[in-house]
Amino acid sequence: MKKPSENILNQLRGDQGGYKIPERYLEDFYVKPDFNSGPCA
Amino acid sequence: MEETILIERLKNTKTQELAFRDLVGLYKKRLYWHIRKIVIVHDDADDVLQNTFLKVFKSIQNFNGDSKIYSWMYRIATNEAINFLNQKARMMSTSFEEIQHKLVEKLPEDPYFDGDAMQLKLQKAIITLPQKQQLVFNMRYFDEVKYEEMSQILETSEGALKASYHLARKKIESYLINEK
Repeated sequence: MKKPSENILNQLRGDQGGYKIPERYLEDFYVKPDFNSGPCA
Repeated sequence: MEETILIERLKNTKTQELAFRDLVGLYKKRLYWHIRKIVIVHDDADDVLQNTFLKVFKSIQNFNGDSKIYSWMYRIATNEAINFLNQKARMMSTSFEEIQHKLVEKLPEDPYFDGDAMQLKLQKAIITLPQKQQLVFNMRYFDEVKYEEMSQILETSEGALKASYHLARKKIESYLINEK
């Protein structure tokens, strides 16, 4: 039988620990130009 | 896409702009979550992710292919995130550990944290670990990074990483049981 703490860890696994991001942040993310240096995406 | 082709495109001035877009598209999500676990606050993670990609762009000609490009970028992201938090700690005349504690204590007020009490407790448990153990735990537990890949990123043997993760889990389990 698993210890309660192991069960908790297994239940929490897969989530990002409660951290969230603004809506569409990753979809809209782009690297802002750095005019002092090389190319940007 | 074959990694070698992507690297060739990244190093060729005629193709690098589009190749960089591809690179960002491929890795932004994984790198973001890795950085976020270190710096905790979304806006800081955004800054560090920007800096990470800029550093990748500036250094791509020096990438020698000894490791996978993702491992190389992960190393850059880790260093950028740790340096960022160290700078923040210095500005606040405090230590790396103390700034992490302060940031985690503020999580309930953070609009980009909606974890329950147990998730908050888990975050508090993680920051009690030594810095490298935190990295190992977060990479394995949340992002399921393979030990082989982690070994390249952290330049540590797989055996040592497995032992470190096992120890981290034990400490966290103990914290979850014993701390109120």
